Amino acid sequence: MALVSSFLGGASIARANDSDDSSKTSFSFERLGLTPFLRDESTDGSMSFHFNTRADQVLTSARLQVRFSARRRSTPPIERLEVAINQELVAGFSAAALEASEWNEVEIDSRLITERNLLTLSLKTSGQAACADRVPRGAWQVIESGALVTESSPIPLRNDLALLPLPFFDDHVDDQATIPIVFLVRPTPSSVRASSLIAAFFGMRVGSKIRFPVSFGELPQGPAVVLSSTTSARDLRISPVLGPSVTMVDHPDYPESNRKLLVVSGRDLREIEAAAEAFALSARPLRGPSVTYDGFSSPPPRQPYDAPRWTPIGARRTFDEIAGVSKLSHKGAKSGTMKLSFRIPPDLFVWPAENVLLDLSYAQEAPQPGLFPELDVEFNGHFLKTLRPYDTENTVSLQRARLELHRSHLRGYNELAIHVNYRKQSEALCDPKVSELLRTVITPASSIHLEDLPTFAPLPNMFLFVHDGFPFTRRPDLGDSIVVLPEHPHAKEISTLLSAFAHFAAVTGVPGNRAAFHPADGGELPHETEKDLLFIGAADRLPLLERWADHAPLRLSSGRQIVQRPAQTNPLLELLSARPVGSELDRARAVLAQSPKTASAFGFESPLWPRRSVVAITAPEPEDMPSLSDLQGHAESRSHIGDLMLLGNRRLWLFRVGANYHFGDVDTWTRLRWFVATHWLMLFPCFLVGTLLPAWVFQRRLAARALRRSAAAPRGESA
Amino acid sequence: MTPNTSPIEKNSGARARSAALFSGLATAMAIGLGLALLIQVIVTPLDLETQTLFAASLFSFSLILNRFKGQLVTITLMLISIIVSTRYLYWRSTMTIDPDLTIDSTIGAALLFAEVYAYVVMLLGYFQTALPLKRTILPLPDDVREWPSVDVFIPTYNEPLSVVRATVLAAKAMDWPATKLNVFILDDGHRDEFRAFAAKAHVGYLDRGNNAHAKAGNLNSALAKTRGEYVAIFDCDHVPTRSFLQLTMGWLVADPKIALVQTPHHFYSQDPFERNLQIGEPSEGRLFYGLIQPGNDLWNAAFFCGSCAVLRRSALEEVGGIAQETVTEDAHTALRLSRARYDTAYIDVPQAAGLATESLSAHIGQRIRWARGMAQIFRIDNPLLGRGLTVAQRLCYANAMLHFFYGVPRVIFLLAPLAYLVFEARIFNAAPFLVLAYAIPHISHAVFSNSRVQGAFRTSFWGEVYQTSLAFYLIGPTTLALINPRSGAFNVTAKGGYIARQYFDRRMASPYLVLIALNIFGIAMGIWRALLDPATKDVVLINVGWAIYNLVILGAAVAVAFEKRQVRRSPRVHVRLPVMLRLASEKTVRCETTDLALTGASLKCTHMPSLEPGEALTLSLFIEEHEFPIPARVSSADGRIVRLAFEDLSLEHESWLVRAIFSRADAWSSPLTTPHRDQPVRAMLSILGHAIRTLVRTFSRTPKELTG
Repeated sequence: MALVSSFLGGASIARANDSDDSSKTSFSFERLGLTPFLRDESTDGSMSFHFNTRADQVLTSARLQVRFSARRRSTPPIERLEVAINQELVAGFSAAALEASEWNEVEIDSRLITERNLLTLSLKTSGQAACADRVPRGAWQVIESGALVTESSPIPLRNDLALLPLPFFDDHVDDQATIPIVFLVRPTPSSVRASSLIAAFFGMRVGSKIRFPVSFGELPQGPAVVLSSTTSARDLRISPVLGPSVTMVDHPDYPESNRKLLVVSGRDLREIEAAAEAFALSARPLRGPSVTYDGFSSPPPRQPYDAPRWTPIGARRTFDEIAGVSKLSHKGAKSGTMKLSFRIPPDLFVWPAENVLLDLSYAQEAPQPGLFPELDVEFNGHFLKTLRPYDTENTVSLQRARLELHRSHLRGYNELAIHVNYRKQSEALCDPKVSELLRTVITPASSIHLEDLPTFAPLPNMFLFVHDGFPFTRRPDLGDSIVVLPEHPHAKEISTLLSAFAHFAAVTGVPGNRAAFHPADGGELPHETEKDLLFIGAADRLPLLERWADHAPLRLSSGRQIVQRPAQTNPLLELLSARPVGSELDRARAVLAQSPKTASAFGFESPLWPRRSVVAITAPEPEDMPSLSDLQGHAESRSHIGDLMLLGNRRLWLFRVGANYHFGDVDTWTRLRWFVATHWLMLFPCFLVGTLLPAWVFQRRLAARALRRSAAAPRGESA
Repeated sequence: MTPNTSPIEKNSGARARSAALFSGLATAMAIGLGLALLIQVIVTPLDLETQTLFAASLFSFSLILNRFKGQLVTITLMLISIIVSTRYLYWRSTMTIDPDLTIDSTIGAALLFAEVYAYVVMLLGYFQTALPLKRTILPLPDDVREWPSVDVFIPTYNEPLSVVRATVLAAKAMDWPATKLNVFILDDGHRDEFRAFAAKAHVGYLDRGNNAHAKAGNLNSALAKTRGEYVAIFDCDHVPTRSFLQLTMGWLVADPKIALVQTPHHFYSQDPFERNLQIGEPSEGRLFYGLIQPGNDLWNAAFFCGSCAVLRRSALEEVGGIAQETVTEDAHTALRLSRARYDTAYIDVPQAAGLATESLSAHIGQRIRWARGMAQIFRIDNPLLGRGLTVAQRLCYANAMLHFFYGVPRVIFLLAPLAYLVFEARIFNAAPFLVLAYAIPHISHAVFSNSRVQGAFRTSFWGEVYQTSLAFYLIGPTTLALINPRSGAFNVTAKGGYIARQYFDRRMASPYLVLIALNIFGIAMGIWRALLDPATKDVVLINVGWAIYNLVILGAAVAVAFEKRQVRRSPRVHVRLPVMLRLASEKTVRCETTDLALTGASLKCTHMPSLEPGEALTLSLFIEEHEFPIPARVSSADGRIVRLAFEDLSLEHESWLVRAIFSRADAWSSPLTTPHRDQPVRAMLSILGHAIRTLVRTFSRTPKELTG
C-alpha cells in the first residue's frame, strides 16, 4: 500500500555537468526525506517518498544503492526490507543481506520511472503484534544510507513557448536555476531594463533562487535568453521576426536538442524593451515558437501594497482568501504535515500589540471514537501549540483554537505547518479500513486577524530588503523606484540587478515594469525626488553615491571600504536607544579587515526626500558583485534590523550603524510611544523629573498644611 | 501682626500676595511638567528585555532612596509606586484584554475589576497617609472656672455589670471639676442591677424604656435628657484614664469649629488574630489608630469611632444628634459634622483601654457590622456626592468605605489562578513572562512603599491575611447593604466572654478550607498539564506560583480559626506597680505587680515570706502617694511569685483598683511608643510558617476533631 509521505515536493538533486549529453542524478534517501530523525523515531512499517525527473530528459538507466547498518538496536529482528517504485516491487533484501555491511546495488528497469514517482520502503519484522504496519522504534536504523541513481539523456524539445520555464527550469525537479542572459545589443538603460523584465518573468514563475550570468555577444553552451536586434539575430543564424517579439529557437550549435535560446528581439532597443515588457506582463497565453507584440500598452500603475502575492491587510483574512492556498487536509493513520504559506506586507506593524491572532478551525473524522490525532502547530519554525482532541466520545469533531503569532516571528513570507501526530498507539489504527476513514481538515474559514494593523517600519532594514525587496516592492510594479547603474555596467553588475528584479517579482507576483533607470553619471537626480533609490555597482563606479558618502554606513573609495558612522546620526538619540553603535562599528571593521573582497548591501535615508530610502549593493570589484540570493539566509547579527550587510567568504553579517527613519503611517500617539520605546533610556530622566518635582511640591504643601492644623493654637492668637 | 498697618507693610503684603501667586503658578507648572513627563513613562510599552531592565532600575532606585529618612522620601516612594502601578494598569487594560466576549475574557474582566479596585484603594491609601498629622495637645485655660461642663455617656445593652463597673468608676475618677462632670450609664438592657450600681456609685442612670435605633437611639435619648456643653462617649468596656478630658478638651475649648476630638481605642486583651496566631505582630486596629486616623486628621477627616471621643453638644444637635440610619452611627455622625463644615481632630495618645473581641466569630461579626454600615453610608449619604465636604474629605471618607468592599476582589484574586490551572482559561492575553515583568514591579513597589509607610503599625502581608480571613463574610452584608441600605439591625459585639478550651472554628474556616482544597487541586492540575504539554510550562509556573501564594495566605488565615484558650474571666493587665503586702502578722513586704486585674494580681517580691494558700492579707496600692489598702487572699505562692485573689471588694476598694490599673495617664502609652520594624521578606516567611503549620494541623485532624 502506498501511503503518501509528508515529504512532498521536489527533492534537491545533485546534477552532473550539463555539457555531457547524458546526465547522472543521484536521489539520496536522506534528501528524499528519510531524515536521521525518521530513522530513529518512525514506527511506520513503510515510508513513501516522491521524486521527479526532468521533463526534457529521458532515463537511460537506474539503479538502487543501499547499505545497511551493522550497529542497529532493533528487536525483534527485521526479516525483510522491500523497495518499490510506483508500487512495483523492485528489490527485496532478506535478513541475511541486512546483516552484511557492504553496498548493495540493484539495477532497476528504467521504464518504471516516469516524471513523477513514488519510492516506497517497507520493513517486515518477525513475530510482531496485530499491527502489521508498525515496526518498533529504531527499526529504520537498519538503513545506513541509500540512493537511487539515474542516468538520463536529453530529449529534443520542440520550439514552443508554452514549455517555459523549460528548458531553463523544471519546477518539479529543480529548486534553483541558472539562466544565462546574452546581450547582443549594447547594455544601455533601455536594454538593461528589458533584461530586468525577462528576469522578472522568470522570477514570478521560478522563484528567487535564480542566477543570471550575463555575457555580451557570446552564446553559452546551454540554453540562454538572448536580447537581440533584428540584425544581430541574423548573425546568430536566427531567422528574424519583425517587430517586438519573443521567439524560441534552437541553439545554433545544438540543433534539435533541448538547448534552446529565448530570443527577445526588435528592430531597435525600444522594440526590444517593448517586447520584454509585454512578454513579462501580457496575459496572452504563450503558444507556438514565437510571439509578437504590437501595440501592447502596459497596465495602469499599481497602488502601494497591491501585490497579488500579498495577503491584503485591513481585515480578518480567511484561509480561502489567502493567495495560493490549496485545501489543508490529512488522511490516514500516519503522521503528516499540512502546510500553508502566505505573504503579508513585510512592514506590517504589530505594535504595541504582541501578537497577530490566528483562529484555526479544524474538523476531524474517525470511524470510531478515541482515534483523533494531535495537531502540533508550528509557525515559521517556531512551535506554537499542541491541539489535543478533547472530544473523544464522538467520531466527528469540529474544534476552534485561537493561536497567537508573535510579532517577532512574523515575516513577509510565512509558513504555517500543522503536523498531524498519532502519538497514542491504538491497534485500531492498524486496520486499513479504519485508517482510510481518518481525516483531519483545516477548514477554509480559519482566519488570520490582520485588521487594524498599520504598515510602518523602521528603516533602513537590510533584512527586509534582501528578503522582501522592501521598500521597493511596496509599489509592486516598482513605480517608486529609481535604479542607478554605472554608465557602462559590468556583466556582474547586471547579474546582480537581474537577481534583484527576479526576486522582487517572486515576492510580489508582478514584474517591476515601472522602475526608472538612471545611469550613475547621467547627471544629478533632481532635488526633491520622492523615490527610493537602488544603487548597484562596484566601488568607484557610482559617482552619484560617492557624493552622498557621508550619509552611508560604508564609504567606498579607491579600493578601500571604510565603515563609518553616518553623518546624520544623532549621538544623543543613539545613546537614548541604548544601542552599542561603537561595538557594531568595531565588529564591522573586523569583518572587513579579514576579507577585503567583501561585498555589501547598505541603506540610508535619501538626501533628496525624507523617509525615502537609498539602498546600495556593492563590492570592491565588479567581479565580486553578489547575487541577491547570496545575501539571503542567516546573517550574524545582534539586532533584527540593520543598515549594513556584509558578505565575505560566504558568510553574512548584519550591523546596525546609522540612524533609523520610519516609513508608513501610524497615528501620532502610537508614533510618539514608539519613539520613546525605541529610545527608552529617556524614560529615566522623564521618570526622575516627573517624580521628584511633584514629590517636592507635594511634600512642601503637606508640611505647611500639617503645621497649620497641628501646631497653630487659635487661642494663642486671641491672647 | 500689629493692628496698625504701615504703607511698607501694605507693600510687603502685596508682595507676599504676588509671591503666593507666583509660588502657586510655579507649583502648577512643576506638577504639570511632572505629569507630562510621567504620562510618557506610563504609556510607553516596552518589550520583555527593556521592561525588565527598566523595572529593575526603578526598584533599585527605590531601595537606595529608602535608606534615607524623611517625609519627602516617603512621598517620593509613594509616587514611584503609583507610577509603576499605573504603568502596569495601563498596559494591563490596553494590551491584555481580549476584545471578544468569551468565557475567558469575562473572567479576565473580573480580574481586571479586582485589580482596578485594589489600585484605587492603594491610591486613596497613599493619599490618606501622605503625611500623618502629629497633633499636639493644647493646654486648657489656666482658670478652672472657664472649663466647660462634660457629660460622660456609657451606653450598655447586654454586657455584664462586671465589665461596665470599671468603666463607670474610671470615668468618675477623671480629672475634671466634679461639678462639671456628669457620668451616665445609658442602659438599654433595662436592668435593676445597673440602676442599683449607679445609685451606689453616684452616677446617672438613664433607661429610655425602649431600644429603638440601638446605640444611636440610646445616645440621642440621653442627649435629650442632659445638658453638658460637651459629651464624652465610652463603650461600656472602654476604661478611660483620668487624664482623658485634660488631653482632649484643650482643642475643643480653643477652637469653636472643632466638633469632635477622637482618641485611639486601645485593647488590653488580644484580639483573635494575636491570640490564635501568637504572633508579635501589631493588631489590626493599630494601623487605623496609629496611621490612618492621623492621616485623616491632616485632611480634616478624622472620624468618630463610637467611643473614647468628645463631641460638642451644639454641633451634634445642629446635625440632628447621632445618625440613626446606619449601623455605623459613629462614622456617619462624623460625616454629617464635616458636611456641616465642622472640623474634627484626632489625638494619638491612648486615653482609654478596652476589651478586644473575644473569638474569631465575634471579631468577624464586628467587622461585618462595620462593613455593612460603611456600605450603607456609601449608598444613602455618599461622601463623593452631596454638599459641604472638601475634595480631600471626600477621598478619605470614600476610602474608609471602599475599603470594606474588598470581599469580592479578594475572592477573585484567590480564585484567579484556578481559571488557568483548572479550566485552561487565558485570562491574561499576553506573554507570561511579560506579565511578570509588568506585574512584579507593580506588586513589589506597593509592598515596599506600604512597608515604609505602615511598617511601624503593621507587618507586610499580614493585611492580606486579615482581609482574606474576613473576605467571604463581608461579601453578603456589603452587597445587601448596597442593594437595600435600610435593612438589617445593629448587632452588639460580644465581649467579656472567655474561651473555655481550645477548638477549631470550622464554620468560620470552612470557605477557606474549600479554597485551600481548590488551590491544591489547581496546582496538581497545573503540574499535570505542564508534564503533558511542556509548551505550557511557563504559564503553569506563573499560575502555580500565584496559587501557592494564595495557599500561604489562606493557610495563615485559617490559622486564626484555631481558637486558643483564654482562661481568665477578667482580663489581666500587665503593669508594674510598686505595692506593699501587709500580712496578718503585721509584717510588710515590698513587691511589684507583674499583672493586675479586678479579680486578682500577680506579684514579684524581693524578700519572700512564707505564705500559705488561702491566707488573708492586705495589698496596698500607692496612687499619688496615697496608700489604698485592698483585702486579698493568697491563691498560690511559688518562690518569688505570689498570686492573689480579691474577694468581695467594696465599691471603694474596686474604685481604687480601677484607678491603679486603668486610670494612670500613662497606662496605655508604652506599647504604642515601641516602634515596630517591618521586614517584608521576614514577614512573608513568618506567614509561610503559619500556613504550613495550619495546613499540617488541618489535614492531620479527623473531621470529628475539626468540629471541636
